[in-house]
Amino acid sequence: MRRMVRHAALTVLAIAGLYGLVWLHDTALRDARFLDGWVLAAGCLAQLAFSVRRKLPLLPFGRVAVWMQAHLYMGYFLVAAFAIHTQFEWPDGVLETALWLLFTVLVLSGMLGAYLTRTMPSQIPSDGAHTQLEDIYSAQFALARRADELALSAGRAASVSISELYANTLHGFFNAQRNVLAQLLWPSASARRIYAEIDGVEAHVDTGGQKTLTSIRQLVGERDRLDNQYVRQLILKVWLFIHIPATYGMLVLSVVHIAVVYAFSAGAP
Amino acid sequence: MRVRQARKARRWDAPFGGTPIPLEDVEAVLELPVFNGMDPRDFPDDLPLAGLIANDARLVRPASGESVYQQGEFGTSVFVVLRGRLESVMTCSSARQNRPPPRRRSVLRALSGILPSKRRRTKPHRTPPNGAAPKKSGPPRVNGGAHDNTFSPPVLRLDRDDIFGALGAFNRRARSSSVVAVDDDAILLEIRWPGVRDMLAWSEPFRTQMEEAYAEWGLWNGLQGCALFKDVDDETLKHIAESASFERYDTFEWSRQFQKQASRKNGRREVFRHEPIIAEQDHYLDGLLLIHSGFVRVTEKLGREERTIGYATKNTVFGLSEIAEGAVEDEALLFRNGLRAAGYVDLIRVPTEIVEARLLPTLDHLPKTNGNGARRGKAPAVAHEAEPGEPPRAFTEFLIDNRFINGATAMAINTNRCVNCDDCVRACAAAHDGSARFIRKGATHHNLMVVNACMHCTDPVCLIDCPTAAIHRDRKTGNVVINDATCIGCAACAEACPYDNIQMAELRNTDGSFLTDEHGVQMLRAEKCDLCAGRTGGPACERVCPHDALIRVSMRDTDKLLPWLEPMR
Repeated sequence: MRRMVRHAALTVLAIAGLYGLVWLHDTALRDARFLDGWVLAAGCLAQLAFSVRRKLPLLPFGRVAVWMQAHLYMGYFLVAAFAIHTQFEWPDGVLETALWLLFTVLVLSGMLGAYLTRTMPSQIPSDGAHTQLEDIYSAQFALARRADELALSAGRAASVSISELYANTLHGFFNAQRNVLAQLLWPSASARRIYAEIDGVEAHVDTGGQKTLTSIRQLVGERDRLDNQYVRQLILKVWLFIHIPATYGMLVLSVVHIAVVYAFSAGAP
Repeated sequence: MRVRQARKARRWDAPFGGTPIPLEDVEAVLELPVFNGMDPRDFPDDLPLAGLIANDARLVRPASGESVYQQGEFGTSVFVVLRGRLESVMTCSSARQNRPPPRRRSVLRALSGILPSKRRRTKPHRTPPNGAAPKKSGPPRVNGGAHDNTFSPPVLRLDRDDIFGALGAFNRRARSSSVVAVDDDAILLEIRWPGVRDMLAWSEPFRTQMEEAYAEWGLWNGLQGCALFKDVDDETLKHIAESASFERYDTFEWSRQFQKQASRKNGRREVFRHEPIIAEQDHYLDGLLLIHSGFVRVTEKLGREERTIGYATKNTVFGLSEIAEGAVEDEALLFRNGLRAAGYVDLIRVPTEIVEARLLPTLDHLPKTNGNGARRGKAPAVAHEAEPGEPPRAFTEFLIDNRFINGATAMAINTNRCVNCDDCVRACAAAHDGSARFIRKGATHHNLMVVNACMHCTDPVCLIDCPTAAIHRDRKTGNVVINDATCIGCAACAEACPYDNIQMAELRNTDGSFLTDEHGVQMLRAEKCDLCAGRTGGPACERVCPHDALIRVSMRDTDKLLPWLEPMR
């Protein structure tokens, strides 16, 4: 907490410093947009350095966690620098609008990522077993096979109810993928529905059938845990598919923007 | 699939000394008293005694003043003095400092006198440091009396035929003393661990001799190294040593049984059930227990339940506080808690009457090393609750049941922070020619995951069965590393590791083709985490984690681990 306050204070100081410099420039009747523009460009390059650092893990350039913190607070600083550079106004050209939109997407996706990486890992249900994202499909498939075997072992003659439950509900539950958004917004809703159906059947089967249903209930719980893990792990990766392309898009547009500015800035102070 | 054939490495491809010891020297060595009780016919044809000496031993010629090894260094060789004199010096801060100057009378000799030894090899002499004339010790000190503050490290003289290094070889821990050559012409026979192990396995006389040497040195080092005895003079220590016993619970190869028990249904309960009992709660306390090495589980009974409340390790003392209270009515002295061996345990037991008569007068106050495991009267039927700052009981149980307390540099992941980005795995692969040395999986307790990566254990049982000593502890750091040049891919280390933290990797040629031996069998090599040895900045996995979700930590360092895991409690 103390570290966070210190970093936030530093960021605010840096923003104030930049604002002060820009004000001095303006007061001296100089075009401060070159100053804050280059600060913004340098900051964006510094942000890119974080990505480079991650790709060069063996170089002795300090811990990536420290770089991550710097990346975050630099991001906040750049939001302010961007606002100062655009003079708190909407963009007016096509290129500027595209840059503005890309920067906004970049900032929002970054902030979303920061939020998700802090909150989502603790929401991933584990029950002592963490399954990697890439292993979840095979784990789900294995569960479906076990559910198949259980339902078949009960036998149609022994329990028509279980067979029907399996054919109408369980087979679909174990073999289909959950809707990501639904699973995120209403976690375990499908599992609760299945539990209710199992409860309904349980009252009408014999002891053997009840044992089978208890086992099926455990499988449903496991599948639900996997579904929740899948959705949350997926989201932890998906935001990067917005953030990283936006980064490189903005990099290209920034270069074009700088070239255009200098191409048409003859006579500027 | 492309396949290339190569000759499979064999055990003695790389003799310990670079070249095998010449046959005539081997024969001379076998004439030494240390070895002449051994019968070469006891050894199998593919593992002859002469071969063991020739290939698993080497001759070392330290110059005068040169150290053979330093206290705190790691090494599993055993040494035999062939010629010249050496001195063993114990200089650790916890050793018996501020004590009267040493006398000429050897404590080790006194210790060896109380042990049933047919042939005594050690003929140690105490000499004052730097060759100074021995001072006469004053009268026995009383509490609060004036102390001679001159630091006098205990010195043992080692002569021809003496054996040393057995402690480090057997328990694979840091050397507890330094050994320095006194004479210029000193010659030692250094036998690396695989040779020692096989001689122990095939020769009963050698085994007996080494066990005795181990117990002698263990008792000596245990008493000398424990801060509790720092104010005890030599004569008293000798008396204490004569009355004390050196005991072992479980075996050095504890991991085999542990693996079997842990893999059963209700593995953790099986592990607990099979732990040797050192002391039972409410049983008579017959003396002070000083843990010399290993890990002890401390339990308490609650009705019929026996629950873990903590663990203890080297230099922890049990029973002192109760003995110190003196005689109290007719109540018997009882253990407050149960003690079980979590892995092998060596301990020293000093009888109660000796503690009362000899040790207590030297103590100003009860030291913190007291495990406080004894009490008078029955224990109240109240569960021990973790105090603020103490690890939660379930957490402690998790560490002990899985033997994670053994981990000196384990890889811990805080699952509340880990976003599964796998940067750690990629960094590990980048540091090791594209082959990551761990799998980001492992046992979990709440938000702690102990990853399947080498923990560089305090007691690295993976070293025991290696035929070439390819897997060994780094002399300075104690990290467990594998010498790729001498690893023959036998998988003994991988099978011995109770945590499945060593993998057998298929060897490939530079062109990517698989390597097979002359019989067409795939050649393998043991691979595991080496903490990025040789690279600056420490382990890459820890450095690259962007969310501080991974640390390399001693699993006993709860001061670091618990705040990092917040809010686990």
